Amino acid sequence: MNPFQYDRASDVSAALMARTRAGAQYLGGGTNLIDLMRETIEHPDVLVDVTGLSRDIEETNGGGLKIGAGVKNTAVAADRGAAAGRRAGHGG
Amino acid sequence: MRWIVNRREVEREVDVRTSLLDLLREHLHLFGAKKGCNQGACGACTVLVDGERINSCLALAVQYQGREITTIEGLGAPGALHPLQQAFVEHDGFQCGYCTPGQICSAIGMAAELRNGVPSYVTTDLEAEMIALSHDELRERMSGNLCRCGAYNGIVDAIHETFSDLAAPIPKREAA
Repeated sequence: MNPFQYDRASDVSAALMARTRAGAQYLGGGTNLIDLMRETIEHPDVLVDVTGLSRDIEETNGGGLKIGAGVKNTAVAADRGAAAGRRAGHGG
Repeated sequence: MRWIVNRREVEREVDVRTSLLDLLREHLHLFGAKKGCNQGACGACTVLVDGERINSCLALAVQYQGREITTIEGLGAPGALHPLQQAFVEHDGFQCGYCTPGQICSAIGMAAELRNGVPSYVTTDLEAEMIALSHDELRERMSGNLCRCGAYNGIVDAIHETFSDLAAPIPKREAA
C-alpha cells in the first residue's frame, strides 16, 4: 500500500473541502477501497474518512430517503423505510 | 492512537496503513483473529466493534480509534469458555481451528442482528421486530465465514444450540 495522509472529516463542509485536495478520496466502509489500495490499484494521497458523518436515514417529503454518508449497508437493510421500498419493488 | 481492546485501553503509534487485523496480531500480539485471504472474502479475521461484526483485514486501525474492539480472546478463556466456544467443542465445529475465532465472533454479531430485526437476503418478513434463526437464515448470514475443513454441520449445530432462544416464533411489529 502506498503512503497516504489520513484525514477524518468532522463535518460535511470539512469533508467537501478535503476532497478538493489533489489525490484525495473518500473512505466509507472500505470494502472496495482498502483491498484495492493494498494492491496499489487505488493510491490516494489523502484518505478522507467520512465514516464519522451522519448515520441518519431520513424520509423526505417526496417519499424518498436521505441516507447519511456514515450509514452502513446493514443499517440501510434494517431501515423500515428502505424495507418498504424493497417490498414495493424499488431497488434491491 | 488509542483503542479499547477486550475491555482494556491500549495505546500504540502505528502507520496509518496498518489494518485493524495487523494492529491486533502484530502490535498487540492477539493472535486469535486470523489472516486468511486479507481481502474480505474468508471471514477468518472477523472481530466485533461496538458489538457489530466486521472484517478487520479491510479496516484501518486509525479509523477505529476510541472504539470498543472485541476479539476471541475477549469472549472466553481456557477454563471459562464462552457458551458458543463450548458448543463448538461439543459439536465438532472445527478441525484445524483456523476459521473458528472468526466463526464465533461472526455468530455473536449475527445473533445481535437477528435480535435487532436486521433482515438478510432470505428474510421474508421485513416488518419483524426480531428475526428467528432458521436454518436458511443461519446459512445465509454465516456465508461470509468460510471453513476449508468443511466443518459446517458442526458449526451450524453449535450456533443453533447456543442461540436456541432465537428459534422462537417471530413477534410482529405493531402497526405504525
